Amino acid sequence: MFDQFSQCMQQGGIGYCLTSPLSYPFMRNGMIEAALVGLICGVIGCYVVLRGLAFLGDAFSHGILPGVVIAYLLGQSVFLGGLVAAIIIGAIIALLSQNRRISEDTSIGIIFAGAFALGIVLLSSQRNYTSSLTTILTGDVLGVGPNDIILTIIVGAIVIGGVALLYKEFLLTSFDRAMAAAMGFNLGLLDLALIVLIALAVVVSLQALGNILVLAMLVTPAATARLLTDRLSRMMVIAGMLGALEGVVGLYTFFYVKVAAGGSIVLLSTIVFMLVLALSPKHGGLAWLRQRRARTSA
Amino acid sequence: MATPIDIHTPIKSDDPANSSSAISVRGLSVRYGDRLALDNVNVDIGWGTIVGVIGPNGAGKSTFLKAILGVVPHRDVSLLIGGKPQSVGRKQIAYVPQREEVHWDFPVTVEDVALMGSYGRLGLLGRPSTKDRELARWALDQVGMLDRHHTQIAELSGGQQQRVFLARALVQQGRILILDEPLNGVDASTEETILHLLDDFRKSGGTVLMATHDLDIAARVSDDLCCINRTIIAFGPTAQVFTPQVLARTYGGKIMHTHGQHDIIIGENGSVGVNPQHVHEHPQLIPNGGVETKDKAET
Repeated sequence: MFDQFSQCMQQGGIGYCLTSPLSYPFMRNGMIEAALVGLICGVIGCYVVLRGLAFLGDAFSHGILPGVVIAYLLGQSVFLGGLVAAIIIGAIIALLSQNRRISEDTSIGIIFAGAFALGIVLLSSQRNYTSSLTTILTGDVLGVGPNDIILTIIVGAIVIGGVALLYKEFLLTSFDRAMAAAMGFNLGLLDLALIVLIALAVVVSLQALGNILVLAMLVTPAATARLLTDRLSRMMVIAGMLGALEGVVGLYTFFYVKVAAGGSIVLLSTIVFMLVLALSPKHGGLAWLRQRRARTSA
Repeated sequence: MATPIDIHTPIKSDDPANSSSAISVRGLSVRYGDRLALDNVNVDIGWGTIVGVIGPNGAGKSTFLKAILGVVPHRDVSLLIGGKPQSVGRKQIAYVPQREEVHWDFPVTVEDVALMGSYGRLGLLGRPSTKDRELARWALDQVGMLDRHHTQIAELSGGQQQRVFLARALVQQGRILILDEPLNGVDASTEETILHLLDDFRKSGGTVLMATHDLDIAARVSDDLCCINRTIIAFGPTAQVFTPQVLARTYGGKIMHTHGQHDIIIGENGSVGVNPQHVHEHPQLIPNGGVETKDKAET
């Protein structure tokens, strides 16, 4: 399984192992894209985790499938197709939620499953249906070109810039809504801004991670970071760096172990989360055991 | 309801837009869907006073405070804060919301929370300045929480959290301090700290508006009492308003006489208060039979 890795270790040691994949343009681009996507999703993912918006993120990533499929069939930008679909399903969910007999999570469930089905139906008319579906659902980080990277940088700047500019607004509205309202902050507008930033992060990550795996990068690095710090600003820095690092290491895994790139990135982030959960000094399993022992002996 | 009782007139002066008032409300009604939560509230609250807002659960105490804060939609209202329209005057208000509405597990430290008091005056892209940070530390010192400034807020006890919230309100630097059940679930020393700070606040000319279900505390610390049950049942100096008649009207006419020297007042929704005065002089207000209640009289 690690044949290629041990071969390259013999040839030139760890430094050679780390640099030799970079001689392939698809690996270079893939790594840059994976790091960018990990960074963007890690940072905005902090709010997804803290506000309990994982289901909404999931709805976006699945619900935009028809837009992605149409863009794919027409040979157009996946980003544009996803963005248009995100706007449409966001608006439909908001409208449905106005009906007091349908709760917000119910309307999210209905719309995202329905939209996902529409995407599958649209794609199933194609001859190479199965392989296309796999590419769309799990992404193709190695097929990323320079233009995709530029787009990711622009959208990433908007997402991270938005989070930085509205730092105190998002912090207060997430921590204490009553106080935020009393200070005159517009809760509805700020919530909308946050959802737009989340949708942008999801859509820009599609190319690299696909509709299904993007949720993991939106949730797992942020959840890992939460275990390591009690301050929002630090949590964002840690989550962003973790996401980027996991993206890069995931691609090395692909290169040396010959397994799917997107899956490697997500699996890696899950393993890191589990390790941190077990070992983190304050909130982890070891700390829990220590506290329990202290309590029983007291 | 019960026999007609002399109600203290809620409006002390007929002068509209009384600019010497801290808070002046005319014709405030709030509707939640089909339910009328507040009906035609009129009140003038002066400067340099502590006003206790009392009434049974669900009677509109929180709604009344939130209407003054401008966070519930209301209709047909003239609402002046410090003589200015609410949208302008709101900057003079500092607020301690109910603890239940707060996301305590959020990754913020004690200092972060105190600093939030400055957010309202910072503007869209503003950041807290060194001066704001100094103010936050001063406020934490006032409530005795400065040594815990790096602690995550969820790791504190309920009383300590409430002290930090009071510090945050001090950082807001308002002349009007609105508190919604600030003494719920806090320890005795926190209660003392909070009440002491409220007293200081009043002495410096500020106005305190505090909703509480604890009649004992309300009567002890308030200069004026504001009795609410969907509308203002009575408003005036505590000595005049804190009577069995007014309390009976406010709490739906049920006053229970229990063992010991204390009288327990039971609201329609089971809120409990202690009336240390004269209930026994008005036996007609006391229905037959005792009711088992948590004996708050001991506290």
